Amino acid sequence: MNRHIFRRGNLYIKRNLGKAIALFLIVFLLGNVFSASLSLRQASSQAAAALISKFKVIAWVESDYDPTEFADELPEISEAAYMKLAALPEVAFYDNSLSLIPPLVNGEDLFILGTEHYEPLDFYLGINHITAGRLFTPEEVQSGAPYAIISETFAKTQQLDVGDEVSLTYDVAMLPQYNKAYKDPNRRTLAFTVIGIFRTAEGQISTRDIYMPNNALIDEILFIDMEFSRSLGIELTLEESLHAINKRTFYYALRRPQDIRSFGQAAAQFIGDNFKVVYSTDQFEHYIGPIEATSNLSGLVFWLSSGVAITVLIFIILIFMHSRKYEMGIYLSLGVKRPQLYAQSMYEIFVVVVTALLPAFFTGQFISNELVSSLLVKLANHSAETSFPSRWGNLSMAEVYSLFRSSSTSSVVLFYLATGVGLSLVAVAISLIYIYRVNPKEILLEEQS
Amino acid sequence: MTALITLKNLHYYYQDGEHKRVVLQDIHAEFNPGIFYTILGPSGSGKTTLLSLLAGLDSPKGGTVLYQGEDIQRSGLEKHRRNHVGIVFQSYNLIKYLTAVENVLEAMYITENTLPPDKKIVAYNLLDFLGITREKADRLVTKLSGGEQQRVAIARALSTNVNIILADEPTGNLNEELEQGIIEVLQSLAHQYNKCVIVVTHSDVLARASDVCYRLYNGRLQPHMEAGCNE
Repeated sequence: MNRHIFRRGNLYIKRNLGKAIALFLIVFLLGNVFSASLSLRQASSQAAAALISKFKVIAWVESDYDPTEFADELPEISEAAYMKLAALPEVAFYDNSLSLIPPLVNGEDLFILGTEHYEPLDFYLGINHITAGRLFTPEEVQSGAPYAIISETFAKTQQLDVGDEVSLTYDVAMLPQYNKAYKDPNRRTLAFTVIGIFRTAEGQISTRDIYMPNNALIDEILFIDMEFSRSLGIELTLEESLHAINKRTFYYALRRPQDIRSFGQAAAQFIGDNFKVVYSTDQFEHYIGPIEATSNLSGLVFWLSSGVAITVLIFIILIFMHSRKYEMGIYLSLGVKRPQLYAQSMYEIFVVVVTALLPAFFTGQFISNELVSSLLVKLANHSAETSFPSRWGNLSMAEVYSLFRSSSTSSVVLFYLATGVGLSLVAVAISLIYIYRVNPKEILLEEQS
Repeated sequence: MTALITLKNLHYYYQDGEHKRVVLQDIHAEFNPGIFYTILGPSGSGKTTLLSLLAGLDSPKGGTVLYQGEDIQRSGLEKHRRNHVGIVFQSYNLIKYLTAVENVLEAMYITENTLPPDKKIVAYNLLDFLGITREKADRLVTKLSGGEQQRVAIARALSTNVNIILADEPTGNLNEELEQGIIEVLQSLAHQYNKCVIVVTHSDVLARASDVCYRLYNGRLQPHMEAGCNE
């Protein structure tokens, strides 16, 4: 290629720095809008898709009736019905945890959560994970073996390790709070063997200290329930206590988010009209809402900004080229070959556009990241308002943030540059049509007159 | 012997809606090296159109322009402008963001004619020959006076070692003193450097200084004075 093309192009940019800077600034601004919206669009759509794919769907049954309409007995769902839901093919597993919060003699409270499953729900959801030892076996859960998985915090404070046998002595100490006359609290001892130690994932909140099989807790819970009733002057039979215990909430982990509809249809025939199935994704909708809204908005901004960018870029380049009409006429009168003029024009625009687009990419990314940060602050606030998302999601805010961050990949950079340079080439191509039609005689005579 | 440039049955008109305004018709002429030609005519007579056809800036509607016997339309108008003619306009038509010497050098880079290897020295010497000092040669052309810019334009036309120098009202924007200087340059180009110099002008002074003078009247080219305008 003729070296004079580059020499003339460089000389033009150097001697017409004002025009070149004006073009640079316009392309830089457009590049920022384009880069930011592209980045935001990619990030939010990828994050939304990743969140949906990683989010586990949990379903449970809630009452859907007005209690005042039932004079005598409120409607109930039998355990058999709950078990039928658990047997549906959409259910990966279910859990119906008993819970025990025994006040220790040293004044500390413990949260012991029961499980029907060898992998308790919190572990399945990724809120907790084993750092030492193991989970339960199905047989241990079934038989109610006195085994426990304890938190790292509890293990540290009690200096416990896997294999240790523990005897927790506790007061049925809530009783005096309710009845000052009850002066002789019963003291109980809960014995178990530590089979695992867990840690709560970063960004997640877990209030549990110990996980044990439901069947290992049931005797303790029955005792406390009956003692508590007794403290209030109510004598419960064993059957009545068992009935109260069985009014637990069953949580069903569905295999896939797409199973919601079929599970809901199948569940309806077992739970009747007075109950409804609730999904963790109901809260997830609130959680994902701002992300999807951002994704949609950034998509709109992306297409709008692309349209505006194309229009403005072509318009600006045409103005830029039009201002050089006279110069083109002079070059043509000197006999310069038209392809050389095309190449020179392309080179000049290319240099300015690429010089503007490259820094614009990074500033656009910065703007996008700032927007993402503000979005995540909103999400974090939203998450704090509703406890379910962090309870049922297995993604921490840090992970959500990283999903946004990690989406600025090389493919995004390439797409951005290819689109930006492509647009500029389209603009130059259009302006070349103009150069092609330049008649040196008309230009020069026009100037002369 | 073949003339340097020949006009054969040249026709040109401007289409103004349905109306056809004929400016050149049945033009026959020959131009040779070493002669300073002027073409006189009132405004709108077609002088500039004729010059643009000679320069290959436009194509005739009929007839041909031959350079050394070859139709410039066939050999290529760009090539004709690049290698055969140097054009001097009334408004100079210099590239404003370039210095005087850079303007001259641009034409030297574009032509395919054989030039001395050290083009920059040639350009400075040409400008010096035309009264543009080295210091002024390195100025942007917009910093030069009208007369100086016209000299730069002439230097650019000469720099490509072409045989034909075409000028359109080259003294139109200059005072009498500067006009005389340009006339002397044009005369020396024809007489000392054997160039074919063709100038279209209103100026009687310029016409009188030329060797052969034509008059363009009613679209036709007629000899103004048989033995040259300066007799």
